[in-house]
Amino acid sequence: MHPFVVSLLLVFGLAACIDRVELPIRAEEPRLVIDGQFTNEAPPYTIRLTYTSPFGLSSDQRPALRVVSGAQVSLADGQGHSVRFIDQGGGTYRTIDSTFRGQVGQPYSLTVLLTDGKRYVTKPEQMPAIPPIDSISPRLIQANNVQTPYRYSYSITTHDPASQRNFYRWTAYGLTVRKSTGEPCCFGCLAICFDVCFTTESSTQVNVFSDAAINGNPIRNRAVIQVPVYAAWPQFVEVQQYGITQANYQFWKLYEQQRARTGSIFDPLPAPVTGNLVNAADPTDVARGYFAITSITRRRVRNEALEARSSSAVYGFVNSQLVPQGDCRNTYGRVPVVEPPGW
Amino acid sequence: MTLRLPLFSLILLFSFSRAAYAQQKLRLSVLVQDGVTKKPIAGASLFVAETHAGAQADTAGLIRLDHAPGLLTVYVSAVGYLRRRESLTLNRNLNVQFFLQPRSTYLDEVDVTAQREDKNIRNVQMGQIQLSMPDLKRMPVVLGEPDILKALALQAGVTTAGEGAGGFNVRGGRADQNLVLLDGAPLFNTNHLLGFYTNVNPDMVQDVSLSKGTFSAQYGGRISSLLQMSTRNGNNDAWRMSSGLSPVSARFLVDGPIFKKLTLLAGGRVAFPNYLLRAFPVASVANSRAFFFDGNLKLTYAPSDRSTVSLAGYRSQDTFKFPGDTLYGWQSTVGTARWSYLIQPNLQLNLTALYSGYHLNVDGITPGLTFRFQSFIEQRESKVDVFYTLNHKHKIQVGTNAILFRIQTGEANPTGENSSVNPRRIEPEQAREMGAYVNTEWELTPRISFQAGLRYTVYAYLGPRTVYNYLANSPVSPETISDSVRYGRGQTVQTYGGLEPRLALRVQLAKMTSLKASAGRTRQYVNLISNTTAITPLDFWKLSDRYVPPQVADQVSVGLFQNLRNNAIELSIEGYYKRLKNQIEYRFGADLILNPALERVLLQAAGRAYGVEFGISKNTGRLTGQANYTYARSLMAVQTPFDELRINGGRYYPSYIDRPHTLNVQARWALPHNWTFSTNFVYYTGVPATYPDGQYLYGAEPVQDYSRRNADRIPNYHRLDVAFSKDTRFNKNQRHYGIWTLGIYNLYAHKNPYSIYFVRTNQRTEAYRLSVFGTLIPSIAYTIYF
Repeated sequence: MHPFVVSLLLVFGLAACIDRVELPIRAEEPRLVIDGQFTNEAPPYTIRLTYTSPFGLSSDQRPALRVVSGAQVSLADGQGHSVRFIDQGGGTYRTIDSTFRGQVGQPYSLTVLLTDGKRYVTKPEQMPAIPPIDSISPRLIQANNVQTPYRYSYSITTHDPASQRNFYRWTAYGLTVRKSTGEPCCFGCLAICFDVCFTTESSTQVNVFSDAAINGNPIRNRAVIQVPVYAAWPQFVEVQQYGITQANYQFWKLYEQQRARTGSIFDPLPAPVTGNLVNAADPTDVARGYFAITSITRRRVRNEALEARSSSAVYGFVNSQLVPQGDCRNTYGRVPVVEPPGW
Repeated sequence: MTLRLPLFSLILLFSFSRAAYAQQKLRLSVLVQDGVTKKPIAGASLFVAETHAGAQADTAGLIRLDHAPGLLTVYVSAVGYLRRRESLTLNRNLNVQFFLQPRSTYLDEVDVTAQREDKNIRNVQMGQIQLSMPDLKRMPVVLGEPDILKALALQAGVTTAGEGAGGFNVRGGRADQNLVLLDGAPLFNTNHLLGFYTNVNPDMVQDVSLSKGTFSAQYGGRISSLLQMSTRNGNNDAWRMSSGLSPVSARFLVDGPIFKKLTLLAGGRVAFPNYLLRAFPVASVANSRAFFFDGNLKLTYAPSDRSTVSLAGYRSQDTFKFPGDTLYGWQSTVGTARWSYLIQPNLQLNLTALYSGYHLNVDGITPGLTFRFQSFIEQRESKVDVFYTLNHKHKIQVGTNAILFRIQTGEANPTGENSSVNPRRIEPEQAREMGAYVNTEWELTPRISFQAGLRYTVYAYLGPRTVYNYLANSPVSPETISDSVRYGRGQTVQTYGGLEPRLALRVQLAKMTSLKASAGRTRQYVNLISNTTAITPLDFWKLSDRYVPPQVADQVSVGLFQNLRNNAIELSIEGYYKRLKNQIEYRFGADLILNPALERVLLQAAGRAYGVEFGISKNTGRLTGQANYTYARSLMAVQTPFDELRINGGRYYPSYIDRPHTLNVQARWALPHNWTFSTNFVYYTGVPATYPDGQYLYGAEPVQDYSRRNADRIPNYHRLDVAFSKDTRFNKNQRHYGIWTLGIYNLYAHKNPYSIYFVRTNQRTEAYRLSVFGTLIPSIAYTIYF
């Protein structure tokens, strides 16, 4: 006889769960934070110096702005030239020398001398080259979002040079039209003005890429921004393509990695998002943030949005939206009301 | 009166036993063999009911006992076999042979005392855990799937990274530091379903033992622990088949004789876990799909009483698909061939050849970027072991082994058309490890025995390989390369090696009390590279090379063992201190995948771990169980000459498996009418974590700062499980019956944290606790046997 074993089991609910919890948070000494870049575009160049502020789960979580004032900041190239960043207040420092401009291939290093005597420096980094953007292509997509269900997703195509290691970063912004009922253009006029506002949408995601896997090949359809469709109007998009250094690429990867924690087993260990600005006397004191030496290439596209304008679904959505009364700037702020030049 | 008489005679016997020893002793020699394979059963034990005398079999299955003459009732038992009771008349030196019948899994309700009751006192080894497979199947388990590693995690000194996390940690060691042997072949991965289950089917396993401390010099290659699992042999009476169904898997098992001397055992498990994943609140898991199976095959051929040949194979496979973009697959394959030959009754030879491989593939299915990523580790090993028993007090074992490792840390190739991914391949690594050992176990006096061993290994990292040289006195980085050297095929790139002494000592202080001490050194040449806290499928193995020296551990431990009430109660205290060298740590933001120069992101850390383990267990009576409490620490320090590479300024900090307090309680209570109540209680300190301790604006985005690694702890874990089971049998011989089990896992529905993480929504960052089992999980199981 063959024994046969059957085990039946009923499980009444299997529920993993996620709850919000309160936890004690340590307070640590403030650390220097730098945010800024030096490019091959025309000056001025700006950096911002602040300190980290305490973090608390139950307290007001807007980082208290602890600005660094009175610091002496200067940037030197490899040929003995240098430029000073002047304290503009509010932690902002800006160059005023309009002749000092970044050149691809040149090494640059930054020095920050704080009023307490601490001196922070970056190692010289060469400004990398960047290939031009070949094209920007829009595509109408439907997003899982009630407020902005229809968007144009813009992707770029460029050709990676085979002769060098390249690290890319992209940012972009787009102008999209939002409507109101408008106002008569003049007293007694029939024509309506101020009913079309060109509002700006900027990319928020960190978008970096290394050519390690595709060296020498085209980079096709790299998504850079999504711009919502609010009205049956064209959209205007500008994409900035940056050539960044390997260290800067690693910084962005770390930044991205540290911000995308979900609590799963795939999470990497938490780490401070430190960059290239280091205390010259204490190498363990590394500033948060990065001072980037980067080259930029830009490209614009005017998207007539024909697909959206001919889509009955988009038309239905646009018509279902409440249209604010009066001058659209009352609702959408101080934005352009005429088609911007340059596209 | 009826009560007093046997008691009286027992006292009499006890009082006169010393006198009897002095008068005359006869030699009883018992050869214990497997009833199926006729193979000697090492470690079998003999117990004389009348005098409580006992002895244990050597590696050749031979038990020798000097005993006063008389009519004796002897019990012979061994793990995985049915106990045998015989009456013997000892009136001259006696040689007898006993065949023990392997215990069939279908009869696992039959309780078998497989060990000597005072084994914990008499055995020279300490830090030993032996799992009873019948008990394993009666424990309250989640989702009705008995699991070997989950049962081990209830023992002192054994922890896991969290509920449902892969791998296990022994005494502050990392998960890759455990030598997990399945029929003598190492397993490089122990997980199904990202760690929810162990990938070895408990139905197939006869015996599980874990050494937490210093283990025999016969074994090496890992620095933390030795977990041995041996599969059952097929029976040679008749063909038997069984199958089973649980909420997660379907199982089958078949065994029987192919010819008279050739038996087969084959079994497998196939899982259907998708509906469990759907219940998960994290969308990325709920929309995931998974599948796994594992299978074992074992052929045993016993051409003569002296010779046994066995072939064992094992294969496990997992696939796990995250929604949208990635498909993971991992496979383990193990094959072992062994020939055991009994040259003389006291001299045994074992020849083993084995293969063990672990392969991972990741398929990227994002359009335009489709690829397949692969990594693997393969070990080919041959070994010779000779077991020699000089006399029943002195055994010697010598052996040698040779291993070839081959590792691919990563290779990515484009798949499909229009993929922009370029093929990238890291040059595979290969290395050779050779070892030789001698080990002796010697009972100097009845009170003092020791086990001493010496292992010597020599390791060579082999070409083809391009090795970068870096400037001295500066950190290893792409900027500090001075030159590179190309090594040809088979050329030695780097060698390591050394002695690994092992020593264990037992001093029996009283009849029921012993003091044990052990010390040893272990070396490890393979390293798991992982930048996450638990074992994940993306982890890969790497060999020790010029920049990654072998991991070395030195451990000393001391323990006091006391049995009470005729071995019914066992008490133990064990303390240990471990010093770890060349532990792998990672630079901040380390990019590990497809990195051709891993030395640029790895750091060497020093570690230390220490702890005290208290244990009590009650083995007889209606109420049985055990409780253990452990205080343990596990600390790390990255001390390099380069300030910028130090983590937490080079100071010692808690490692991510540091867990100071652990309490485990397990109890079983036999109730009337065949009811059994069993319960587990688990408490432990939360593991270290790193919470944000500062914030700032970068661009316009608020960013949290994590300035000190592992300076915080997730909340403590505690859980109570209960199970009632009812056996419908009226007597033990009944063949058709069922067992009802009503269980509740996590009875008081404590939301135990698996991890704490921080999410920013609407300009606020909130802390969230992820609980894998967020509530109580009741279950009803009915198992029917017919």
